[in-house]
Amino acid sequence: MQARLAQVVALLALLALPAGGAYAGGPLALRTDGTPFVWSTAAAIPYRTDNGPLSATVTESAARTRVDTMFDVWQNVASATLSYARAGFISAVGAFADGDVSTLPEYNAALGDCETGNQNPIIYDADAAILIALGKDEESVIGFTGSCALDTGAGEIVSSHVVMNGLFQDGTNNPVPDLSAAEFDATFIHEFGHFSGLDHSQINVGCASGFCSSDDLAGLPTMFPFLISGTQGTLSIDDIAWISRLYPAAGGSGFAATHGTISGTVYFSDAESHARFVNVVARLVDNPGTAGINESRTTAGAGVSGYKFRLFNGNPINDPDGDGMGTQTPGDIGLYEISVPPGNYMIEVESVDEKFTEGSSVGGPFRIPMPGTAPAPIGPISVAAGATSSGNDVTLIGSSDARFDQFEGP
Amino acid sequence: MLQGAIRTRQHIVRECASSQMPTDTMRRNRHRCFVLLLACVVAAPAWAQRGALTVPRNLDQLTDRAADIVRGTVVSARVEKHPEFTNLDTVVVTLRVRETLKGHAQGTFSFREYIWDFRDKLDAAGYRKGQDMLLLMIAPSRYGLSSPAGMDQGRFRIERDRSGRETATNGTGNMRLFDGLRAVTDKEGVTLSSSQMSLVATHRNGPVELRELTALIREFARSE
Repeated sequence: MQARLAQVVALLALLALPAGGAYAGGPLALRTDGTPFVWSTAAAIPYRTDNGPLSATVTESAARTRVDTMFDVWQNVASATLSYARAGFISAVGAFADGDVSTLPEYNAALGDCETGNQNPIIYDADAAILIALGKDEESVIGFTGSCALDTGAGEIVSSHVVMNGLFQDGTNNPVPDLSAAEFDATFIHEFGHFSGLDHSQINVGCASGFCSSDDLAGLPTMFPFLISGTQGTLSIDDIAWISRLYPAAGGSGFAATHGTISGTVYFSDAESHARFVNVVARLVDNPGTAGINESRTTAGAGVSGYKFRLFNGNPINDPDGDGMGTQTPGDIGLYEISVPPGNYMIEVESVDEKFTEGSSVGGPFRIPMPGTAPAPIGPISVAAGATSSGNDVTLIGSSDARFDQFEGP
Repeated sequence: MLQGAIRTRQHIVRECASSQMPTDTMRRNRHRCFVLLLACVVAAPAWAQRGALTVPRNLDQLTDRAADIVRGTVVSARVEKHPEFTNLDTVVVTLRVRETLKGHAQGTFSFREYIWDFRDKLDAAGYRKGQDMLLLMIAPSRYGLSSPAGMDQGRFRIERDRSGRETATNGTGNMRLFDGLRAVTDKEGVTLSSSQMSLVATHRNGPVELRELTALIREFARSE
């Protein structure tokens, strides 16, 4: 269905927008043709774990079991082909020889080996000595994930690493209160989503401000920028859809057999100019026959308009390629794509929440308010397995000076 | 304290999620669950920051963790390898100092921050020449590396609102910045003005007036 309303306005703030963006709700990074950076699925992704304890109270053996289980959460998605396999302990290299990555020289050595694509280390920073040496606030950073190497030609993630702060699992409240095991593990299931190539996703955003029903919580993505509950250790419909879209499995339980796609373009109120950085949510129409469950809150997928388009285009004199990520196809500027299980869906648009800026961003490092206001949800849109319902355009409601390029010369 | 909050919240979440009752009863209970969640779920235990997750810190905790608190303008930000550990990517940022709230920075203030995310290498972790910032920086490590306290929580961008007032917003939209501060001020004998008390009591998230924020930081720094 296509919904275009006559309208007006566009926030002048958008005039300052960079012309592109390839950091998206969905994939973490995109190639210049718009395809996402993903791991090769020719073999299971090999990861190596630290041979030291996770913390003063969590042994290496217990940590290894938990890490395996965290990877299993993503691997067990039936509609995705992604798989992981523990390849052993972190390999000795350079200054790292004692099996336990616990100092900055050892971290530097393991990171170097990761950057050459030799291994994907999962590092237990039992007493936060590495974080402290790195100048990070060990009392607030639970852990992090970083890609070590990307193959821009093949569009593949070559290697990544993860650091876990054991202070949050050491059985004491000094210097920081512990997280529950479920919360700590949900944190790293989220991080392993990044490890696998996923960015943040915004659905049921009221949960970030305390407005969160049990149905909202059920639909809250693991890749939501905030960890609200340990229940986010279970993947949502949106997490499953995006990981399957990046790594589609074939066959009866595969991506095409279990998901369809809704696409469209978000327009400024001139119904002509594409609007970027608008969060689009597809919600399953509530089934009145399922008393007590509101499927429109539990079953939803999301994407950000313009997610494929280049964030930073550079300039033709000294930086013609910009950041080199994402397309420069004008038709992608306002494009959104959302994969969901078959059913009837309504499409809503909203601003990326003001709390999701910088590192917790959704759809780009800059948080740009949606220009104008949202029209009424459009739909219902019928989604069939293996099919794409395209042209589900959304035109924002604004003021009469409604073009982002209205001050451009002829 | 956080631990207790988390346990309470989890209990409520489980209770609400397990509802299997007739519709009317269900609606009433779901409403009750919603209200309970409304009250408790705000205590989000972790926030994502470019491939990292952090726990929320309030202004007193951020001030306490910071060795240097400066307001200034970014004059340069460049990505380069650590001089000793050459596998580490870092961003070296220099500010022209306008105001020092804690520490002894004068003239210019520089720091080297470790970055692990490939996007940070592309955009110098979001530091850009000309930015007006308020930074609460932890003490440099023995290897010369430092970062804002609480990651993005200790990093405020300064802007002017429509009325021309300078406002400050951190990387999490100032969410939970003032949580628990009333208890801290009572305990530490910090005296707040009426406008500061109002700010601490009512602010949930969004920009705060820079003047009020820096006054609060000075109070907390003084009480350490």
